Amino acid sequence: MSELTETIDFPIIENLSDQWEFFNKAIQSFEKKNG
Amino acid sequence: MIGPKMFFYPAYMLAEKYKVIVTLIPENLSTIEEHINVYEALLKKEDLKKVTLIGYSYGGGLVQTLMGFIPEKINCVTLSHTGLLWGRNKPKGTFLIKILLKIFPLSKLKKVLLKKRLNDCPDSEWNEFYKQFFTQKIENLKKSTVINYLRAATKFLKSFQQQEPKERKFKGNVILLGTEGDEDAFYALEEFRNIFPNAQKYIFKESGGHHFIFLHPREYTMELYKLLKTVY
Repeated sequence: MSELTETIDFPIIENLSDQWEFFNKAIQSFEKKNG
Repeated sequence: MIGPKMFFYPAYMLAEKYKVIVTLIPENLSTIEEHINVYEALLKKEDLKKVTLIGYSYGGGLVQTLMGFIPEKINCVTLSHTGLLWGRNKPKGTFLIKILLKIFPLSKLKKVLLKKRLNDCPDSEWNEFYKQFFTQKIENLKKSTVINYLRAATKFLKSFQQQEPKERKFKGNVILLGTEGDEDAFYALEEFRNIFPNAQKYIFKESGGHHFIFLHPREYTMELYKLLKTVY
């Protein structure tokens, strides 16, 4: 459980196109994990 | 109705440290038993004995239901930007929903949904993304989906009212989150505090109201993560 004390690097994403890119990356990541 | 993708920011970030499951609530799921069955099937499929539940808005109602009926299968809960399900006298809006469904064409229903969803928040860096995302999602909704969800929500509230557990047996950790400008649910934070006096609470001061998680996802997820770390 010690790894849970580490900090996540929460990204600041201000640009709209970067936000859509981040969204697509997040969705793809979940879809990959869930087959 | 909008689907689990709307929670992409907190889900994706928290998945760096936790196993995160974001659930889609099927449009025809309307009774307590059905919700419990889905939850138990999910635990079985993922081979989990207990989990932490995070319920935002309507999801907070579902979490309260599971806390009431199967408290032994829940480790910790986060109730965020959500109203109090216990002790409600009557589901709000039942009559209005029936009228809406009967007389409103789909385009009008979508306008109502968009108005409810989109509160302009210029100081949010996610304001434009949020508008585009929800406009797309709502534009693509079918009337049958809107009707089924609204009917299921009404039926669910009635179902809870009729079977409400008399005793609150949940003894796990409780985290409460709210935003000061949330006209839909901020009132409930103090009521939750009375029910769970040992709960940890964080109140966001920024704009964003009921939709804080979408308009300030980074700030929201950072605070949630800090609180989750204190219980794990």
